[in-house]
Parts: sequence; structure tokens; C-alpha cells
Amino acid sequence: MWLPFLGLILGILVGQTLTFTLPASFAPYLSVATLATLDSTLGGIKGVVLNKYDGAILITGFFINGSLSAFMVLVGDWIGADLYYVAIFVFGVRIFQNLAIIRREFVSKFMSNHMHKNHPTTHEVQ
Amino acid sequence: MKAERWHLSITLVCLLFGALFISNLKTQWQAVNPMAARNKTLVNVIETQEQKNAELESEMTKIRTQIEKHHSINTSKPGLEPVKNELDRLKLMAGQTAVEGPGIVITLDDQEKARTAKDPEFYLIHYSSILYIVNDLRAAKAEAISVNNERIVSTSDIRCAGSIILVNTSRLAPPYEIRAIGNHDQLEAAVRSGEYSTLELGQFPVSLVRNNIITIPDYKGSYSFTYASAPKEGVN
Repeated sequence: MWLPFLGLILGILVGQTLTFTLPASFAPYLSVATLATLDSTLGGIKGVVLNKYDGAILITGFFINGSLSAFMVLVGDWIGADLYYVAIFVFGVRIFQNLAIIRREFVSKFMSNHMHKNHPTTHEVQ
Repeated sequence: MKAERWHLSITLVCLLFGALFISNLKTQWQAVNPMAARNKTLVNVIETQEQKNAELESEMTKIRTQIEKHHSINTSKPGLEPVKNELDRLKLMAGQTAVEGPGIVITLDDQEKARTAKDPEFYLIHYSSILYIVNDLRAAKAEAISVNNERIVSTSDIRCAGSIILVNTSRLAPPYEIRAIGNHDQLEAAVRSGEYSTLELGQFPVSLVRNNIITIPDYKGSYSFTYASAPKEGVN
């Protein structure tokens, strides 16, 4: 259960120590890629919660969505169409949807556990 | 805790996401202020240079005391007495010894308004004010002058670099204290007829104090003449 969180903290530390800082002109592409990968990660958590988890889809989604979104924004810059905002909009909506689904699943699990046990002092859910 | 099959891939994804997220943060912060890194390196350069200056200055004082020691040994020899006296006189004139005597102390400071005003340059002491006052003092036959303990000698510079005033290429901070040794009345009259009065009228916090004993430090720098030399006799 806590392994993913450990991975997240380890990743933050790795990012902190490796210090790959891109030039400021790459900032929008990296932002979009980060947003896409956040969407993928939340999608994976959603899959776990809904018992519809598929590791292959998560991994491919993570890499391909991340790189493709950054690339699409770059292409948009080339042809003069600002796809940056489109990407932010799409991934933003998906992130909030995923968050909502995860929240609803947790709440319903918590409520059903509470009802079944019928024991008001136990809160060892999640 | 039993290991489920989803643990591995989601941990990997979380790890990669964390690394990417932090890189993004760093890039963004850099994008907000690209000058910050550059300024930092420049500040470092200045600090190391100043440290080097201080080291060299202390080395110079050490060497000077050594020279002093050799001189004092040699004075015991007969016939060298006039040379020694001449040397002391020249040193005094070149500002290479600390001196004391009667004189005036002028203190200049920025106005309090400078902190809040939209155009603070009207409420700050500029290098030109210090330059004018030093010039007035020289005209009034001041025999030794110092600004914030920097001795003014024949090669001294008084200038500004950005928002900082430099004297003898070392940085000054307000309040600026100008000391001068000479005739009280003459110095005060000369100073009050010049830039000092302008500052006073402009409501700068300035003061002028007469003092019977003022100490002025020696010049810490060196004189180096690369191009100039005395002409040979009979050339002209």
C-alpha cells in the first residue's frame, strides 16, 4: 500500500539530486508533460481503486502521453496554433475527474466498511 | 503486506512522476528569475576579489613594517640621519603614515525619504557631493583628508559603480564621514561656501564638527608608476 508513496518520495529526491534543469524556453513543454504524467499516475490509482488496473496501459500511457503531449505542443508552436492551452484544458479536466472518482471510491468503501462492521470506534480503513 | 501485481508498475510510475515534477518546478523557478543565478555568480566574484584585496593589503602592511625595521636599524649609522628625515617627510606627504592634528569632521547621510520615495535618487548622497567637498577641503589647504577611513592621496579615485560609492576602489556605505586636518576656520569657511550648504538646504542630515585632535589613517594601497618617469636633465 505504501510502496507507491515511497516511490514518489524517492523520485522527488532523485529529481532533487540529479538536478536536470532545462533552459527556460523548454518550460511550457515540460509543464504539459508533467500534467500528462500526473493524469496517468492518477489514472493508475483510479484503476487500482476500481479493480480495473492494467500495468501495461499505465506504463505506456505514462510515457506516450507525456512525450506526445509535449511534442504536440511543440508542433502547435511550429504551425502557430497554441495547443498548450488545449493540452492543459484536457489534462486538467481528466485530472479532476480522476480525483473525483478516487474520492468517491474511498468514501463509499469507508461508508460500507463502517456499516458492515457496525462498530463506531474502528476507523482503520483506507 | 502482501505484494500485489500492481505495486511494481505504479511505484515505478510514481518515482518517474516525482523526478519529472521536481525538474518542472526547478525549470519554472528558473524561468521566473533567470537573472538570479547570474547575480549570484557575480556576487561571488566580487566577494572573492574583495577577500583577495584584503589579503594583499595585510601583506603590504607586513612588508612595510619589515622595511620600517630595516630603516630603524640603519639610522644608527652616522650620515644617514638626513636621508631618514627626508624619507619621513616624503612619507608624510605621500600619505603613507597615519597623521593627527586639528581639523574638521563632516558627516553626510542619505535622507530618510529615500527608502519610500518613488524617485530615491533625489534623497541620496551621490559621489559628486563627496568629490566636491573633498575638492573644497583641498582648496582650503587641508593637509590630510579621509573618507570613511580611506585616505585621499594623489592617485585616489572618488566615483560610483551602480548604487555604491567607491573611494580608492573600496566600497563605502552611508553615513559618509569626511575628515580633514588643517586650519579650522579656513576649512569650515571653504566647506560652508560650497556643496555642503547645498546639501544642508536640501535637508540632508549633514553635520560639521571642529575637533582639536583628528586621526587620519595611512593610505593602504600602493603607488605604481608604469609610464611616468622623471625627465633627464637637459632634455627640455
